Amino acid sequence: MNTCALTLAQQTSWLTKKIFGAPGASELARDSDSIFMWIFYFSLFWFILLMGLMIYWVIKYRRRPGVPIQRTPHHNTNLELAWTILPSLFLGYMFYIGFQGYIKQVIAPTNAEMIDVRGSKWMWTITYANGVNPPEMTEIGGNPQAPIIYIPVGRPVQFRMTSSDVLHSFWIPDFRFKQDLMPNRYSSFWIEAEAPGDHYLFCAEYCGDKHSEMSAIIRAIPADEYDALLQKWFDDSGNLTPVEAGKRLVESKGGCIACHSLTGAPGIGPTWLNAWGYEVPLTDGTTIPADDPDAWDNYIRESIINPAAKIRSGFAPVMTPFAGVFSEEELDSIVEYIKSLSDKAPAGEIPADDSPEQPES
Amino acid sequence: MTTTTITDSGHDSHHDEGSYLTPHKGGAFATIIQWATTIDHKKIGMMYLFTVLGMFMLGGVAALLIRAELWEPTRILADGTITGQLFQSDSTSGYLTYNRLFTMHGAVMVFLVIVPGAPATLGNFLLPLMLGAKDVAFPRLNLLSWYIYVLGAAFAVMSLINTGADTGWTFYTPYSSSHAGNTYGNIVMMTTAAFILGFSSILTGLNFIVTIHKLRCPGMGWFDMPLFVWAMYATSIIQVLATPVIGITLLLLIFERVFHVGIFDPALGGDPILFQHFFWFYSHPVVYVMILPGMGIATELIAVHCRKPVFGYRAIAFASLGIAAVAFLVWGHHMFASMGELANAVFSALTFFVAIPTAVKVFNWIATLYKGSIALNTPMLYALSFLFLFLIGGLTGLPLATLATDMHLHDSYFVVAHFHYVMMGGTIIAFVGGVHHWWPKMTGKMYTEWVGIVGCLLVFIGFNVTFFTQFFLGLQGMPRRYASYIDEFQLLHQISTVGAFTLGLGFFIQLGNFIHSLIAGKKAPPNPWGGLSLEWYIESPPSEHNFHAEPILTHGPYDYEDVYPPHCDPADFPLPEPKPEGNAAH
Repeated sequence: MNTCALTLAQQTSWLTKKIFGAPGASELARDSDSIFMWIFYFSLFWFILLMGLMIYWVIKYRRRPGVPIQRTPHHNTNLELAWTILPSLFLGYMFYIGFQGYIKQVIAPTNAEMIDVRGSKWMWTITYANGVNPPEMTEIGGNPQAPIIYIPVGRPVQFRMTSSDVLHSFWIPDFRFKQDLMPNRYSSFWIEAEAPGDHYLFCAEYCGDKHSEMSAIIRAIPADEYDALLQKWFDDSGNLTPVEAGKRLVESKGGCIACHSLTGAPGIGPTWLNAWGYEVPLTDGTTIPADDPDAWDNYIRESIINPAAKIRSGFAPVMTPFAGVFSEEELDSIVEYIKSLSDKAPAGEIPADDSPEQPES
Repeated sequence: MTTTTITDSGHDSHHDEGSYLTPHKGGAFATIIQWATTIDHKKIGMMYLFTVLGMFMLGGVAALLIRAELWEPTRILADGTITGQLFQSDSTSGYLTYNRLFTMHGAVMVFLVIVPGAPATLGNFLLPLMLGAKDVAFPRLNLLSWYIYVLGAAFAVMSLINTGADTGWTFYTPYSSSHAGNTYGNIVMMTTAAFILGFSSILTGLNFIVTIHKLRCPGMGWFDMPLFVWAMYATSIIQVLATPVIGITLLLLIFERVFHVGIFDPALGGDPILFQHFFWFYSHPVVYVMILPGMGIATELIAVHCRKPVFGYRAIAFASLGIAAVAFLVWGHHMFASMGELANAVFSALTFFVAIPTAVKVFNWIATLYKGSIALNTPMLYALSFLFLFLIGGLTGLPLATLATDMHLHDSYFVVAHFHYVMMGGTIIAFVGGVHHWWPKMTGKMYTEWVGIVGCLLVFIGFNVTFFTQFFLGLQGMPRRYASYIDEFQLLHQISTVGAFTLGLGFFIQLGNFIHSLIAGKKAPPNPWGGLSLEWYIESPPSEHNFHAEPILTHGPYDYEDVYPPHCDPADFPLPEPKPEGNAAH
């Protein structure tokens, strides 16, 4: 980066901090801030100069009765050339430092650790290199189910991103970078955290009803803790019952609970509490019959892969298809989990919530 | 230039024939028919003015509702109660109401207010007057364009009544083509509205180009035209060349949504980035359709109220054309977060080129103030506000054109603040200033000066409080189009909301001032400001056929050093010493 701009920005880090709220979380982010501050001082210079002249002349040459205007040249080629060419040189330089900084931002180190990111309405699905999804969640600005995405300190991390449905954008303000996610191609984004800490992740491309809740926490932790955590999740995932595995899938990999409540509360999609095994009317006039386990298992499976096939009355066809996202084994687990949430679940299966167990009728 | 005046012989004897505003002798109904079938550019301009102002109020109310919702972030408490939500959306629809509101605000303000605003209202009214013509080149086409505008507005309002679209005014695919909306038809209706409005825009542009080429009065060369006309010329070129692209794009979007033809949706084999290229290939040039008329108005206001020849006339005229040309090459800067590195670098470099002619104009405006005679009345205060706000809008465009900083600021509140400084601080402020400046000419009535000044100051302060705050919101990480937000942003959002209501109050006062002027305003003289362009030679309001005889131009529009303004007391507008012989200043 341009050393002059960097020095200038460091001298006035108080102002930089005031403007950005918090200092950039990486060297590249602080480079970006110093470029911004360079443009800021450039702009401030012209703003004060031009507005100063304007206010001074407006006061000095305010209209007075009987006082005529003074004759001045109507144009001045040298002056006009100067104020065309001089700012142009600065603009060229501005492009150059912006381009330099950008190229550093987008070219990931070859040793970066790859993390898969899938955006869909309205959640982030993270898959680490060993195949696990981070199971922890926290509350961000009214969204109680924002995932916590762990990254290691001091190691470059590259996100390989795509979308399941509409456009999204992956923005981590503390790292001063964002990249759109598109449904038909990969895009990528890399960062390297310097110190442990939490950083907000926001969706920055409008994606529908709950766009404002499509957030997450990027949590940087020491690299050895990070490795141990990923290994622990990997080991845990082998020892789960189908219901436990299903619960973990709908919370992390699927993110289903962004729209489907587990408590009976209304949501964008139907609640799963006491859904399985009950009669459900569809928008085409037919119903999913009560107490028909095969019909219900198939309905759930189909609604994950191709949600628009059967739409429950009173709901809009807005769900993203999850075809190809889950393996057959995972689909089984999710069906088992949803079944376990119903008081019509067959005897011997323990409901996941505390509703009373009922024998099969 | 000599100091002779324009020939408009004996108009005083024609006062008895009435103005274009004189009602039809057959009564109210006949007057309505007369207006509805008029081909008079002045009447059409006034009809545009009132429809555009109506739409401006609709979009403005939506803006205030948006700001009211953002006063407090929405929280869903553990017991299920929702706090901080103005619009009690049912929980099955998330923030649908808010999303529809910002879509409506954006679509109405862009397609129904700012794009047609200055050209169709002031442009229609003033272009023939400034050129010394009886009317525009195609008066019937002009009336048709107003009816098309009304039809487009009707579609937009129908879409709103039919619950409204929730795509944002940009209609990005695949959300708009496959996912958005609980009602099937509302997005199709909104895009149809924009499609129809495009025709209105094209017809107006075509009409103005031909009018400027063919109907300049005798003696008026290209460089004797007021710079507002130059701005209109550049605007019209963009309208004619760019608008067909949005028409085709929106038609393709409707095809994909209704017939499932795969163009933009990957699920059908299309590509969403294609839509962005199409959309911004129109919508970026249209940014200059919005701002060029504002620049033109500001130029007139500054020249008349400083009584100074515009500094660097040709530079401003060619800067308008330069902006129109470069406008077509920079659309990619709206897509830095979704394109590749090479395309980003090319579009970033090209974007800086558009800054140059814009900067040149600002320098020229400020230089025009030098040694003038500056009247601080309402139109001039608006012009000075324009300079202040547009300069901030332009300078804050620099970090958005710079790649390294845009990757942070893209799609954040910084962008929201930037384009409001340009579109509203630039275009709308200049437009409202222009309406004040030409209001006596259009209506034949004066407004109350001190009320105008109070309104202008409230608008200026309210605007800055609203939008300057938003630069900080964006820098600190607030994304666009969020109905709710994290607690850290609440204070800045509340300051912004207070500003928005101050701004609203300012406009409300202006509106009251105009209504009062129509009802009880003093009669306006033909030339209240001492202007020199041709519209100030005729009565206020003008007669049906503008000029009583074909005017012959004998001086330039800004020869304030040598020509006494018409219909004014020369003592009020003293001239400087005659220039020494042989010293060619022009």
